[in-house]
Amino acid sequence: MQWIWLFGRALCGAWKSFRNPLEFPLEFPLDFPLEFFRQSISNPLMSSARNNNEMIPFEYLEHTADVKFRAFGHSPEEMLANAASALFKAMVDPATIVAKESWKVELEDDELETLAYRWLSEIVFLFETESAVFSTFAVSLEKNGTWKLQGEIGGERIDLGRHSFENEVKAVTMHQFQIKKNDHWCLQAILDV
Amino acid sequence: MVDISKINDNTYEVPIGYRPGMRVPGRIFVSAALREMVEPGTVDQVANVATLPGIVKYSMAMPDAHLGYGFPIGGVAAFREDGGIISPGGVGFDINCGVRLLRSDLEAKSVQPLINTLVSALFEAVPSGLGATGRLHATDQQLTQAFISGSKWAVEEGYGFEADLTHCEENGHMPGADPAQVSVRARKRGRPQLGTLGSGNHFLEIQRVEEIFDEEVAKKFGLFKGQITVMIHCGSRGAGHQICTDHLEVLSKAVKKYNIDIPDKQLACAPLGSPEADSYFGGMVCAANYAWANRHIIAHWTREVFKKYFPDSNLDLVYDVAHNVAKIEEHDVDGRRERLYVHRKGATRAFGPSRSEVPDAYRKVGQPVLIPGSMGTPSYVLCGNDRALDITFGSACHGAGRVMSRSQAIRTFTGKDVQAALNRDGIVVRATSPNMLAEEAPQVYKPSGDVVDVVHNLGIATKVAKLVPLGVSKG
Repeated sequence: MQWIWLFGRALCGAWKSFRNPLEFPLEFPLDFPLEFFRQSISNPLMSSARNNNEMIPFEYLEHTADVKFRAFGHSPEEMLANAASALFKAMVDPATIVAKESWKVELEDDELETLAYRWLSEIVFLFETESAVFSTFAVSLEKNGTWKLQGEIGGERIDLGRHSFENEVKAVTMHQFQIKKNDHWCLQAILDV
Repeated sequence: MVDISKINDNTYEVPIGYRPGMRVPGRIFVSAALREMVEPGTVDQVANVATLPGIVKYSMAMPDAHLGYGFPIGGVAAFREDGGIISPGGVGFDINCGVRLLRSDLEAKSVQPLINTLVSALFEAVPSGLGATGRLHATDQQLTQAFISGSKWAVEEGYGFEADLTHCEENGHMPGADPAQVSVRARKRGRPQLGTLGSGNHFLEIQRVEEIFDEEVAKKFGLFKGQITVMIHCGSRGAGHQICTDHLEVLSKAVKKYNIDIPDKQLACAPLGSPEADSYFGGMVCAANYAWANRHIIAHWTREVFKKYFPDSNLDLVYDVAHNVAKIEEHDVDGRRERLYVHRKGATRAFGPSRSEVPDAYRKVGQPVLIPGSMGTPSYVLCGNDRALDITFGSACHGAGRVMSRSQAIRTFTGKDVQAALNRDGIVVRATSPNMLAEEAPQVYKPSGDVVDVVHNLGIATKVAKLVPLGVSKG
């Protein structure tokens, strides 16, 4: 069934692409079954982004002016850590970063979505004010009335000799910013670059 | 779903009913050829803006419109003071990203032999690129003054001249700044970056006036064929980005408090007159003033470089325009004069001779409207026309408008190839990151001439001069 569905989507995407070449031909719903990602992702950008159980941590989607991504996780903690990796990989190749220093982040908010927005914005803030690049992100969450986030970020100070930037993320937008939970967690965000 | 309809050769309407909740129709100002380049998402964003409370006449998109966040890039909308809203989605993160044009008394033939040296000297003199910090080392007190008085503060500090101020939109310092609305975090990002160009599409460019379309107005603007000009394109850096981020969080909660139904979280807003709206406006004005101060300082260092190589030359300020800002302006609405909050996101104010905001030097003709091209394509100087007041609340386009995503650009071009192609065309480029050069390849933008022609043909601003790049310093 899945392949029939996929074929239909691809055909539809190809037709849309033919009518308007600017539109990305394949876009998947946020609640697309996790199984799909285990089998059919062939985006070369993702080659270094797989982890052991084959769920891709994140993917980039086409956007004319900015960077759009979806990050996935079996838990909200994993999703938030993967979202941070997606944000940072849009700027610098993580393979060039050595996590020799660490930074701690503590945040609290009534809503998970706002908390996630603040978490990602915090990473942009730290990048600029600490002149540092990051490659490891660990998140723990606690819900006790409000959401509490504790994050640990690993990275090093910017060395332009080793760190080649593809984009400068100015900010995390709230445009189409959303978190969904189906059989997995998914966060979608668009970065202003 | 109701589809968009053609009103005339350069105007398309997004009718009420295109999406639920629209209070006014949308208007997209494009030619048939440019219409093909407008993504469906951009039309949706025009329709989304039309649902916001207190919107007047139309939700508009200029000819360079493309997909943004909240408003489309190239989006213009005005809101009634009574019953309207203010939204960071209509301003963007880079508050008062704008353009400044300096004119020299030099002819291209005397500058061309030194172009490599000049571009390198500018690249050294004006810190640019990612993570760049200024030569300025501003104190916290100086930062506060920059937030309050913008270019005026810069002049007091010895950057530029008093006469420059009248040649800036808002005289380079917009009233209403409230530094108390700028967080410690925004100050921390903004302080070391005052006096830096930034990265992405920001640039400092040496240009030659290639063509004059209107001799009389060009004379008023001090432009002549073969002349060397310098264009500076940058904004409020991390200060503006953080001010927007901080207030977006507050306003995303305000929409619930005031029961405002928004179709997109980036359109988070608050009713005008509410504490949240006042707070955002006060912070946004600080960022706008910071950006004017920033361009003033960069212009000063540019003048120093030119003085070194051409001691008898002068660089005078033609004009400085804001591209991303919300401002209080008076406009005629259905025969009544009303105070409106005009949001321009990726759009330039284009006031004609009737407006008192136009400086005395240009009052007979209208304000200069500066439209930067991309690295390899021409920039244009236009002249604001009173017709724009009826059609677009006195607004025009702000650039060429992207047509290809950054990731596709990186897949399609390499920075090295882009640099080589520009060099073949005689354009010298210095950039901190080759990848960023690929993203800004001339081909990723719509043809700037086509975009400007729509503005000219609609009569909202008329063509005065075409400027071609000779040398570019980029972040």
